[in-house]
Parts: sequence; structure tokens; C-alpha cells
Amino acid sequence: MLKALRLRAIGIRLSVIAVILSFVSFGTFIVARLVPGDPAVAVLGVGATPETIRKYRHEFGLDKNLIVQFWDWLTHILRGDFGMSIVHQGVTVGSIIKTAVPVDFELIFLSQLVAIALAIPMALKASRRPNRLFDRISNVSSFVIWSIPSYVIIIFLLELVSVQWNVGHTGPGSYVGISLSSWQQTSQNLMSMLIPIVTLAIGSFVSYFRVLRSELIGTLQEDFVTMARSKGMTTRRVMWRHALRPSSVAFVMTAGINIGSLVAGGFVVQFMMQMPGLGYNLVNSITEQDYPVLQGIAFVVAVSIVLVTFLADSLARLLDPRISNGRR
Amino acid sequence: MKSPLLVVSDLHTTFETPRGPLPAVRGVSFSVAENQTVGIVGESGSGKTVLARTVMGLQPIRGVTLSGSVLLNGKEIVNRPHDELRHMWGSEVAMIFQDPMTSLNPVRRIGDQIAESLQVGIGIKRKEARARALELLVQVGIPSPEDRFDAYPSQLSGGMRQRVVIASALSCNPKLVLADEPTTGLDVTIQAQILDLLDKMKAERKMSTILVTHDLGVVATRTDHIYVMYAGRIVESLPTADLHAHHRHPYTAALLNSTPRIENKSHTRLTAIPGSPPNLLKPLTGCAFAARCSFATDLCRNQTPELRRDGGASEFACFNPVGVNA
Amino acid sequence: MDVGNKSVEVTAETVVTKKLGPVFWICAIWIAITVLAAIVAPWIGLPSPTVVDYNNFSMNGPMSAAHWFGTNDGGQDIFARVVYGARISLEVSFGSMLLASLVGGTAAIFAAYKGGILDTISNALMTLILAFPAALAVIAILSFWMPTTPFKLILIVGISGIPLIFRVVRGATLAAARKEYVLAAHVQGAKTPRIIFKEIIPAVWPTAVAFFILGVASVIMLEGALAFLGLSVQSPAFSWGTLLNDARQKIYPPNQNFNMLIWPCLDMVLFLVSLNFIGDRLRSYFDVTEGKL
Repeated sequence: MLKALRLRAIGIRLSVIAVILSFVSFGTFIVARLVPGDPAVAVLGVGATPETIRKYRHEFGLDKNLIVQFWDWLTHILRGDFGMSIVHQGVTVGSIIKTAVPVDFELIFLSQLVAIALAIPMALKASRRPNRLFDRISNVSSFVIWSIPSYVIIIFLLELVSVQWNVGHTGPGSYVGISLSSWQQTSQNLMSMLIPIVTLAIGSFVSYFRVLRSELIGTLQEDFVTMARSKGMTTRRVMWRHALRPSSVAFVMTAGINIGSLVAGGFVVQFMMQMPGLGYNLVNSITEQDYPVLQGIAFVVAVSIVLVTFLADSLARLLDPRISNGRR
Repeated sequence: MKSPLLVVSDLHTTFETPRGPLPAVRGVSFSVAENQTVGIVGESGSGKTVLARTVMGLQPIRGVTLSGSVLLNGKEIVNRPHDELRHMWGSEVAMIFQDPMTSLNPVRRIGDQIAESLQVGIGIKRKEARARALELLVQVGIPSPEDRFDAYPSQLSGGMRQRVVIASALSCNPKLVLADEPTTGLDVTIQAQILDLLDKMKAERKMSTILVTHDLGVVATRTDHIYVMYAGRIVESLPTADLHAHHRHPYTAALLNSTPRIENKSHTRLTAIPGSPPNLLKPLTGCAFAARCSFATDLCRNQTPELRRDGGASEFACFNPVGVNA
Repeated sequence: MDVGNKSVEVTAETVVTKKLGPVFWICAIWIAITVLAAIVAPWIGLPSPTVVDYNNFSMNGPMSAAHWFGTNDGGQDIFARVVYGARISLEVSFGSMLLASLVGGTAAIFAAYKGGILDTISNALMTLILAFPAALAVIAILSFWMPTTPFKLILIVGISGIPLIFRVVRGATLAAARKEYVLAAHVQGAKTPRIIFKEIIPAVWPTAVAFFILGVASVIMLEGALAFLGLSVQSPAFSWGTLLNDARQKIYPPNQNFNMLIWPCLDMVLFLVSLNFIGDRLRSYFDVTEGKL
């Protein structure tokens, strides 16, 4: 019976996601279309005759009703066809997305890995003795770091690493794809990822650290922690086995928010580093008024955000049964 | 004669607070013999929970000043770092906490929690620990323990959780169990069941128990000896059998008058104790209970009474004890 | 109090009164100085930020008594540019948050107080919009609506901030409306506007102010990001963001000029630290957590 209930709950949440996704896809479509400016004029130039403009609009289906256009677009997307770029001749939106996604995946995965690997032990150490030296120092410095915009961090990292230390393959535009066969290319890939990963990790670290620290301080006040100690467990065991998991719901939610916002919000870093990820292509498609690319990427971004949120939510439920039992 | 299992002498616990030192326990001495059940009774704020935690050695080192001595099996507990005490916790002394809703880890299955205390406390392997944990669930009377083994605390009722807490606390066969208000959060009918369970476990395992409670009714029938605490001190110490007939301290009398008793007729008046316990942040002169006591004299307000005995079995700290037949 | 456990019976008596602390006031003073300097900049005898100093003509000049932070590659005074650059950054950030707070806050108080289907729909809508990154919409609209002016920035960024403010203020209003004194006012027959102005707004404004301050900080950051994409105000106008974007091209030889980068950076980051610290402190001072929303 419990299993059936759980399956039903998952079913409900999946259908909620389906509804959200349809709203989001419609939203991205509308936003991409409602922005001022005529794509036909953008492509053909201001000097184009009304005749060529009309032909162009007809060719790309722009003269149809907006709802019909949306329906055409959505049905094509569901078949995996994102359409063609209207600026770059013969380039499909799908191919742009296909090359961009691995960049984002690697960037997000590695930066979050670094941030979490630093944040968990530091939060454990800080929360064990709140307001003592380590806690205060880490708290204040995390606060200052939180207030430094990512582009400022990048400028200084570039100056330090690429210019002063003259480390190769770390500057803007040095991105090469990862390769399973060539170790040299993979190491170049990692070098080119160094500065963006550090930059994004710094920002995420602060949010992980602050959330986990405050949750842990709350958890350590709980009776069950005292109970665990009174049963003779070591401090290390109490912290890692008893205190960490009940404190991790907000942490997992933070991870969801961080990852979700990096899918799109990494654009500043990607743009400055000239890395061909989703954010970089998105910004380019906006400035070039390449609306099929814009729509396609915005759709992928929105879908990823919804999925990441769903995953974080599921993981939180797995970690803390209180959520599913409605006691929290 | 064998020395008692637990000897507490002249114990003081003082918290350093932003508003000055707060003496929560002010010179408490008592002892618990092997296989004995002792009750510590007092209103909330009397320092009984702090006393229990200090006896266990669970008070944090920072912000707390301790003096006096707590000898468990001849080993000193006061002012020893947690790292040294840890080896005694669970196997020699264990604690059952007030609130079964919060004293179990909400995100871990109950079977695992008991098994973990066995793994840590006795050092047995995981598989064996799980088998023993299941046994313990049977012993504390959890229905269909195989199913409950993998349940989370939030899926159990309050009474069931307290049974799990007891199983977990007793898993490593401690010689002394401190039960801090073990039934306060529970329904009256469940309270009796839990106390019966504690009695049964105690009889089976030949352990000593300290029952800390605000409810004289709880200790009146289930203990061998009772200590009445007020404002951080023991004001009366007497065998449970003498509680109703031979208590001498006016505070004990007041507590008894405010507790309903089965044997009394239903129209018997219950009297609440007027006033509230003193603020221990301010220095006290005289008997701490004087302000609320109808027998108080100038002597009571100026001089602190020490525990004394006059013929009977009760030791009491009072200049104007209530009569033997009161 | 650090007794390590909440069930120790003495804790209730010894709760430490919350304080804002000296750092809070240092940050507040720094914010006041920066804002004031930006407002009165034309009248305090600063060198002109746009005119080249022909008397001591120097491009990429060093720090000196005449030019505290040195001069940039155009011979303009960097100190003056930092102070003046704050004007557009502050104008845009305060302006857009004011817009967002007025619209979002008013709508939220109204919706939450009235409740019913209006509240349900507007809340669902705002939550849905929040799921989508607002910065992208801002970039999209700005890039199709060049050239960027402070007014456009305020309008677009302000509108994009409405959903967040709406959610925050709605949560605070719901919490306030449930309080006994508000119910009591109802029972005594107080009129709705009176309850909103006398009871709800005083209860909601601390929360709103805390998020307003944090919002200002994030808009300043966003303006910088827009500058890096070339979407912020266009030359000759300049902001902290455009100063940084200019400077990052100029830190390489031969005409290397770190003064152009470091001073705007420092000023901006110190300002952001102060804002974030004050906002965060106020938020915990008034005990607002996202969990309550």
C-alpha cells in the first residue's frame, strides 16, 4: 500500500511538471516573439524590399497566427527538430544545443563538486562551535566573497593566472572539447575550465556554506544529537552520521537553485571566457536576433531548470522522510 | 559493605550567562545503590534536568562551571572531557530523554539507530547488531517488530517512539539509567505502560534507575527512595514508603497537596502552590522556599537550613518541619 | 546562551537581546557616504569626470594630489569617474527596486489581504515567472531596445523584480494578517484601509526593507553584467559596470593602467558588501526566513 501511495505521489508530481513545462515552453516562445524588432528585417537588412520580406516571412511561417506558430514549433521540438538558425546558413539549432550542453554540464558538475567538497567540512567545523574563531572568520569571509560579482573575480583570476603566472590554455577563447582518446586534449580542456570553474565554485560555495552552517547549528541543538552523544558516539560520528542528513534538505534545495541558475546564469562567465556553452550561445542569439536559436536554447534552459528542481525535490524527500510524511 | 553504584557529593552546576552566573544546581549530594530506583522530584526550573545531565557528564565544558564530585562505579565524572566519558556512556550509564518526538533521529530508520548504538557501544558487527536490535524491539513490546524495524520515527506514535528510545538507551546494558521526564509528553494511559516497561526492564537487567520527574504520582509507587528538589538543592530525602505519612518539608507537603491521588475521595481539594520558584540569578538569603511557605519565620528568611534528621527516616532542610502526622 | 541544549531549563530566562552590532552601523555609514557623494558630486569641487585635465595633461597618470586615483587612458580623473559612475548605478538600482516594491508590494498586500481566487491566481503566476531566469528576459528586451538609457533599465529591471518582491511581501502579509491584533481590529469593526495602513504595513515594512536592500545589491551586480555584454548605458554616459568593462581591456601592456580597474572595483565591492551585510542583518533581526513564505 505504501508503495502504491508513493507511486501515486510521484505520478502527481510528474503531471505537475508536465503542466509547468507546457507553461514554460509557451512562455519562452512568447517572450522570444514579443521582444521588439522584426526577425525578417534583422536578417535581410533595413534596405530589403517589402516583397522579399513577405517571401521570407512566408518561408519561415512567420505570417501565420501566433498560436499556430507555437503549435508548429512545439510539435517539431517534441520530434527533436529545433529548426534552423536564421543567421548562420545551414546550421541547425539542434547542433548548436548539442555542442553547447556538454560545456555546461562539465562546467556545472565540476564547479559544484569543488564548492560542495569545500562547503561540507567547513560548515561542519564552523557549526560545531558557533561564534568561535573559525566560525567567525569563515562567516565574514564568505560574506565578503558573496558580495563580489563573478565578473570581478574573473578579471582578477585572468590577470593572476593567465598573465602573471602565464599558465597556458587558461585565457578567454582557449576552450577545447573533452576527448576520451587524447589525454593531451583532455588536460587542455581542464586547463581552459580552470578559471570559470573556480569562479562559479566560489559563488556556489558561499551559498552552500551559509545554508548548511545555519541548518547544522539548529540540528545540533536537537535532543537526538544529545541522545547520540549520550550513547557514547564520537563527535565525528555524531556530526557526519547524525547531524548532517537532517540538516541537508535546505542544502539540496540550494544545490537545485544553484545548478538551475547556472544553466542560464552562467552566461556572464561563458561570455567573458568565450566558452561555447548554452549561456554564451543564448547571448549571441539575442544580440544577433536569431530567434529560433533563442527559442530553442531558452526551451532547453527552462526544461533543465524544471528537471533540476524536480530532482532536488526528490533527493530531499529521499534524505528526509519527514517531508513525505507531512510533518515538516 | 559494598559502596553504592553512584555517589554524588556537593555537586554545583553554574551557567555563565550574559546576565551573570546562574547556579542551577547548588550543592546536591545523594547516592544510588545497585538495583535501586531513585526518584528526583521538583517543579520545572528546580534544576533537576540540569542535575541529571551533570551526573551523566553531558554538560558542555564551555560556559558551565562544575564543582563537587560524581563517582560512578568509583570513577569520577565531573570535569572530565567528553572524549574520556564517551566510553562510559551507553555501556555504564545511559539516558532516556524527555521528548520521544525529538530524541530519535527523524531521518534514520529506528532499527538502524538501535543497531548503531550496539555497533558503537559493544563493537559487534552490523549483521549481529541488527539481529540484537530486533530482539530489543521485541523486548520493549513493539508490535510486529520486523515491520517496524525499517520505519522512520515519524511513522510511529509517541508511546511507540518512547519504547524505541528505551530500547536504544538500554541496548548496551548500562548499569545506571537516567530517565528525564520519560512520560511527560505522553497520554496518561501510555504513561503507565511506559513506566511498567521501565520497571520490567529494570527487573530483568538488574540495573539502577534515576527517575526525574515533576509528578509525585509517578515516583510515589515506583521508586525506593525519593529526593525532593527545590531551587537547585535537595530539600527532603526519604524512603518512598514514608512519603505520604512521614514527610517533613512544607514543600513536599505542598507538592503532595497539589497531586491528585487515587485513594482520596473525589471531592478532596487540590491546592496549587502559590508564587513561583526564585530567580537564581539574584543572590538568595535564607531558605529558597520561604517566600512561598506558610510556615516561614524570620529565621527562615535569614538563614539557610541544612539537611537534618530528627528521629524519623526523612532528612529535611527546614527549621519548621511539618508534624509527623501532618 | 551556549549551554548546548535547548531543554536545559534555564535558557528561557537568559535569552540574549538581539543587537545590530557596530559593523552594521559602519556599513550603514559607508552606504550613506557613497550615496551622498554621488548626489552632491557636481557641487563639491571634484575634477570633471569627462573633461580632460589640460593643466597637468596626463593619460594613465599616477595617483597624485590632483588626481587621487590617477587618470584613465583619456586623461580623465578616475576618482571623479568612480563617484559620478555611482550615480547611474544607484539611480538604476534604487529606481528599479522602488518600482518593483511599489507595484509588487502593493499588489501583494492587496492580494494577500483580500485572499480568494485573486490571490491564488496571482501567486501561482508569480511563482511560475520566478521559475524562469529574469536576467535573460532583461537581456533579451534590452538588446532589442537599444540604446540603453537609465530609464529603460529602471523600467525593465524593475518589472523583472516584481515577482520576487510580490512573493516576499505576500508571505509577510499573510503572517501579519493572522496575528491576534489584526483579528482584534477586525472584530472591532475597523475598515479595510485602516487595517492595512495601521496594522499590516507596519508589520510588513521591515521585511520589505530588508529585501529591498538585498535587491539593490543584486541590481548593481546585474548592471555590471549588462555592461560586460555591452547592454548597459552607452558612452559618454558611464556607470560602475561600464567603468569596469572599460578597465578590463586596459590592464595589459603597453598602456597598462591598474588604477582604472582597482578603484571602481573596490568601491563597488565595498558598497555591495555593506548592502548585503545590512540587508542580511535586518532580515535575521526581523527574523524573516524563506521557509515562512
